[in-house]
Amino acid sequence: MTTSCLLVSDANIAPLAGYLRNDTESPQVQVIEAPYGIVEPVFLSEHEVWSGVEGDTAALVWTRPHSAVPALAQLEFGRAVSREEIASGVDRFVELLLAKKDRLGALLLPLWTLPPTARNRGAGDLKRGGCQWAVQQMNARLVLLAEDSALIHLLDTHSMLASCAERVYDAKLWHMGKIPFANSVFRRAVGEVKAVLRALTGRAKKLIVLDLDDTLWGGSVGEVGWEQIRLGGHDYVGEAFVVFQQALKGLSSRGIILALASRNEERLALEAIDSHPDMVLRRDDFVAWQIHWGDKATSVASLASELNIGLSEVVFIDDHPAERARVREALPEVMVPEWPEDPALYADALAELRAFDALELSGEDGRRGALYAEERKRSASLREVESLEVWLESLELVVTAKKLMSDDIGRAAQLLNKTNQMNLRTRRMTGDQLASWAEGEDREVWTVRVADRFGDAGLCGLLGLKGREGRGDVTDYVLSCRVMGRGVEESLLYVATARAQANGWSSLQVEILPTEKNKPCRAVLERLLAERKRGENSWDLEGVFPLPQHVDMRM
Amino acid sequence: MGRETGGEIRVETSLVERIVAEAVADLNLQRSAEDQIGKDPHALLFGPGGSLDSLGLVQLIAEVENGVEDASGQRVNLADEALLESEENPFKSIAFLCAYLVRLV
Repeated sequence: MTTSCLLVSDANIAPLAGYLRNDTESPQVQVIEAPYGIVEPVFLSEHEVWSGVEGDTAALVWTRPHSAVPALAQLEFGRAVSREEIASGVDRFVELLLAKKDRLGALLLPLWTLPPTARNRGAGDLKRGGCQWAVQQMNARLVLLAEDSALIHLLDTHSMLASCAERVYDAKLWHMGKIPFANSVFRRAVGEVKAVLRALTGRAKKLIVLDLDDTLWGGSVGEVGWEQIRLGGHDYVGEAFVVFQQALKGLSSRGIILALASRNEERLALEAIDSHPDMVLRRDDFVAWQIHWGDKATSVASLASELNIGLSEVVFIDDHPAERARVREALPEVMVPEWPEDPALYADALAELRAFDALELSGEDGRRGALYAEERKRSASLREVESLEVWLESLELVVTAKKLMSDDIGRAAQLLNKTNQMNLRTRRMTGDQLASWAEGEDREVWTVRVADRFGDAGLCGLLGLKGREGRGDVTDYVLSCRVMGRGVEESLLYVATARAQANGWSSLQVEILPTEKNKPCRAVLERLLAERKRGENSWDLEGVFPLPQHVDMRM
Repeated sequence: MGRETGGEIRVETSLVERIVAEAVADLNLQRSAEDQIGKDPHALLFGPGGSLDSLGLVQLIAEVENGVEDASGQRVNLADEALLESEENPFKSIAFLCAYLVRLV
């Protein structure tokens, strides 16, 4: 899948364009380069670069502080510039960029920096009136403006510079080519830009499958027993494993789910997880596990299947090169990073993956692990009953459908942008764009919450409907995979057709936009709407679609 | 690394070749598959028919100067217009550049 990115700068960032264009990491980026030095004309006019820009294009606008806020230049000539002047300068600059907000899917702004050689007054430069002070004020204002914006995302230039082992600035590059940074910075920026683009387009990873021995703790638990594994204590290796587990726990707390694939005796491994006093991750932190002596690739595939997560959304972490090679070969879609031999580097290696970026967090993110644990109990209950019908009845399923409310916009946009498999047309929109679309004439967006006796799955379904000459179109039919197979798919169709009837639409057309990933959505529609097929990719619905008997619908 | 000769650090030919090769490899990361700078040390680099444009030349100069400084502690200046226009133009090819650097440092 290709994503497009417009690069705009007051300086020459052509090296970044080259690196970004040729980088092989997903997503592939189609780069549109604006000539450098004309930020204002690009954003104030219909410059030719906009002809290549589509609605989901991200614009990266990388400027030097003096060109974004010209008042800054006056500081160097001894004229005082107030905090308010700086703030209003930043406001004006952002307002300029927002002139094209309807043309863009995202606006990526690297934080402003001065060249490391710009000492001016030394430590005094961070006092009121100093250039460094002014740049800090600018960044603080920018962070404030981006805080509640679904369009603006900031890139941390300071951490990019700090993580470059080589030169970050080269006076010769600046004087000869107006290139503001050394190439090492641009190479680093590619990874950061791609991480944001993955987060924006729902391609951040969702599941980490972990090995145990020498990955979560030091040593082989089967050989030494849980009391003797290296974890915590006055031991730098043990400490490093604790830090790695803490990093994983941090990811888990914001919705990245953890599972285990280990060659071990299950009883011994779980005993270690339950009993070792320095374990940060406990049994409840893992939504599933495959602990046995079988093939790791099979284990990873089984876990992804059990959790209904696509292989391309899985990261497999194992200290053993042969296991990594096996999973890489058998499951090429799974991300299998090379892993350092030294446990002290594990936490950094995890951060370096840049595979789990989240631009916004919803309440559901923090509960995701618990939701999967509830699903495990639900599945176990299915194995205890004699038929699917009896099981469905036993769930006490409540589906609540509501028109899109302002409180739900963040989660609704997240669902729209992260869902790949049960997504009719894979439309990607920011929260603002979704809210604005929903306000249009003859348009409706409905959200669906699902709860049963095992727990509350929260907001996990979304419908977009649009009227057209007395008929209706389903523009979005999106459902989180974790509630599939319980009658929620049918409930969404019930809501859609009930709304079509209420709006006086004679029929409702469902047309799928096929992608590599939304085959499960097609399979559901083929099954439920077999007799209503109109074309290769479309179905026509008339009347209200029947609601499954076991569903308590609240609308 | 460089080789110490009576208090001076000399940069060996193989090291110069590595510095230039790394700079060219970095430039190639910015270029499409069809537009790669070849490994042939005698292929035309900069000038009419050469594979480097002025932006590429600027980056090559900076990368090589920094590479030489990191290896030897010696700062060289390759951004000399007179040099570029002379018969000695070191940016004619990778081979010319390596030979020039060895003479220089």
